[in-house]
Amino acid sequence: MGTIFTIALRNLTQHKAKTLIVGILIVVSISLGLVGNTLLDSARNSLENTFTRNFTGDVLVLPKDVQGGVFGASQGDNASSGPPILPMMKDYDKAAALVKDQPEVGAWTSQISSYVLVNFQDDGISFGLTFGIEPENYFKTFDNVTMVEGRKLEPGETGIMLHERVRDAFKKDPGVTVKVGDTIQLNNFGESGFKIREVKVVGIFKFKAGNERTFSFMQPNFVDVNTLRALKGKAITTPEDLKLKESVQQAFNASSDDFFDSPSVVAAPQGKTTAQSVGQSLGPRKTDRATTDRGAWNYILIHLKPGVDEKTFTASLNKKLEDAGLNVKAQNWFPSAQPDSGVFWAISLVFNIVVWLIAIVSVIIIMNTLVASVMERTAEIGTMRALGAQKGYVRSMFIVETLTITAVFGAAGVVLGFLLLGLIGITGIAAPNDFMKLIFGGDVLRPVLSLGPMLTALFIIFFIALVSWILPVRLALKVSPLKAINAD
Amino acid sequence: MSIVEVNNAKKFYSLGKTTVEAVKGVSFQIDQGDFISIAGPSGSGKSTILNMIGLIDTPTDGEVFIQGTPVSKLKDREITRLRHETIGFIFQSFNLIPVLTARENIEFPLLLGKANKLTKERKEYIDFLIDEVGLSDRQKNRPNELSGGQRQRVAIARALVTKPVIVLADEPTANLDSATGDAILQLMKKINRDLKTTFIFSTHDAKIVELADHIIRLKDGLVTENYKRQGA
Repeated sequence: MGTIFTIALRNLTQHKAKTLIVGILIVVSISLGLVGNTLLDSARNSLENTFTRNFTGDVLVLPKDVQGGVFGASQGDNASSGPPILPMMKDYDKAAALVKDQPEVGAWTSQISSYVLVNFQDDGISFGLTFGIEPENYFKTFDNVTMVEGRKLEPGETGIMLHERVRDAFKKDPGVTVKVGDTIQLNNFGESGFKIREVKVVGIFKFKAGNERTFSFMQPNFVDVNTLRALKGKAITTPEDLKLKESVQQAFNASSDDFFDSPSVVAAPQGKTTAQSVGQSLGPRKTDRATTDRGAWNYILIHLKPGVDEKTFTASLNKKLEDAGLNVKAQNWFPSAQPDSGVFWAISLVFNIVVWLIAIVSVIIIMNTLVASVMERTAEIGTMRALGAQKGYVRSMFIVETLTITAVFGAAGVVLGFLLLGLIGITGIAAPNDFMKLIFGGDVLRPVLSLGPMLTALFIIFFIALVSWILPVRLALKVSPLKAINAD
Repeated sequence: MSIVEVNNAKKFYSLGKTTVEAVKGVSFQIDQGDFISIAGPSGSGKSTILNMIGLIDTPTDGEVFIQGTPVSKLKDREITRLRHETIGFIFQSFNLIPVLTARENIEFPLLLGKANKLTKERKEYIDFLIDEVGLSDRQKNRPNELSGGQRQRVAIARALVTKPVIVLADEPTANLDSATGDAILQLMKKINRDLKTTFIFSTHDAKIVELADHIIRLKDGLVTENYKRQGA
């Protein structure tokens, strides 16, 4: 075996140019794979941390036939057909009771998500994602906001906390500035038709983790849950709601003569027609907490206790939900953070395809170089065979050559990858724009080396080592001892 | 008992639609200790016969026996082992392994096969051979640092290191100058005398034919002459 190593190593050092070409390719493949995968892995961890801490929790419970999560979802076959109308959890009370009983659960809260039209003084209009929450419970579970102005919603209070970028979006309309204390109108067209509610702005906030979603309309605002329920048509009708306005009642009570004797039964609206004036004919603008369906929620968001394995918990909870016959499911942060997580997944996929393409191209080049090496050495191989070397000896010789070159340059690639990661770790990569902030899961990405990318790098090394010697060795084994005689 | 027996061996090659009859049916025997020359002009089939005896080519028809063993039925692995244990090669182009030193080239055949350890006895034998071929001061040099004659001496030592019963030499002096060629021939003759190793040459070098004690002449793939010199 010693002589095999001697021949392999000396051949590698003798043919320096070839060895370097092959080696550089391996170094590039490995270091690029390691750095890229570590960056992606770090970004994914950062993204996961941001989303689980701020938006989705570790586990999300939602109706079974809903795909997606807190930023938007679709139901059944209705995927991507206009703004999502998310169904409420039919078995909310039972599901909540089951979640509450799980010892692994550290904290949990419930939420409604909806895209609504935010209207201010008829002059400023914006489209925004709104989370309907019970503030006390929600902010106990998600300590995720910093107030820029004003304060958080109080328990039982009707009002809205606007994201600073939604507030800023209003500023683009000349003369429109939304301040704390202003009343704004929320409009929603849902299952029960067009709904309007007025709410007071109690505060302007930003997220602590700095996760700024790409566009202002993607920034979630927090509104008291009853307002959002009412906007989504989940108001419970009371006898008070059925009382007709005095003028309308008069109209009903009037005789037919009255219609012709008086100029008008109901005065026509004066001045311009505004969203506000139209809204007056569409129902109450104030939300009464007592008149909404208090069991109407889209999701239950769960934070697990430290050390609890999310996969195991999710599987176990799904089994319990299934056994209880509830029409809900539990899922982790990734589908719950769609479409943001989907964008990240697509980028990861593209990067991995690029890395594997480089690895495959490297294999092809290495293979070609080794094939050329075999062709040049047919006389040498033939001589060895003539002198009594079995095919296994020739095979071992080339495998050792390939393994040596892959191991040496693969290790160099790993070391280079470590160095690059160390440098990037010191400086960090600042996200140049909101899109990159989304990808980085924050303002600055600092890579943290973990097992996954290391294993991927090792897998690439093994892939190159394993595949690249197949063809050259097959050719080498076909070399007959006669080639020794024909060497001249 | 003959150490090599060639029995009606034929070798045909296909060249496109044409079949070339390189050896048309030759038979002869070689005894142990012979210093034998297979002579003939280019294309007479001498190299093909040498390859068949050396087990690196197989006859299309007929049989080759090495120490009484018919080789046509042997598998590649068995042929390789028989070749390793029985036959040494000296090539016209020396065929040294370029990345190994002279000594490592000589050692190389000993590192093949099952008994692949360099024992003290083997090392002493290598020293003896290196001494014998006059390369004591060049043993650490690589082939590209040696002259043609020195390379052929390395090749001779390598051919003998496994103590084969047969050494095949294909035009061993073709790439050497006259003086070096003579010296190499004398060296092989000495080894033949001292170690009783059978040397089989494929050559059209008159000096080798002159030195041989058994001569087989070929022409157009057939044996035209096969005789032993008196006193051989």
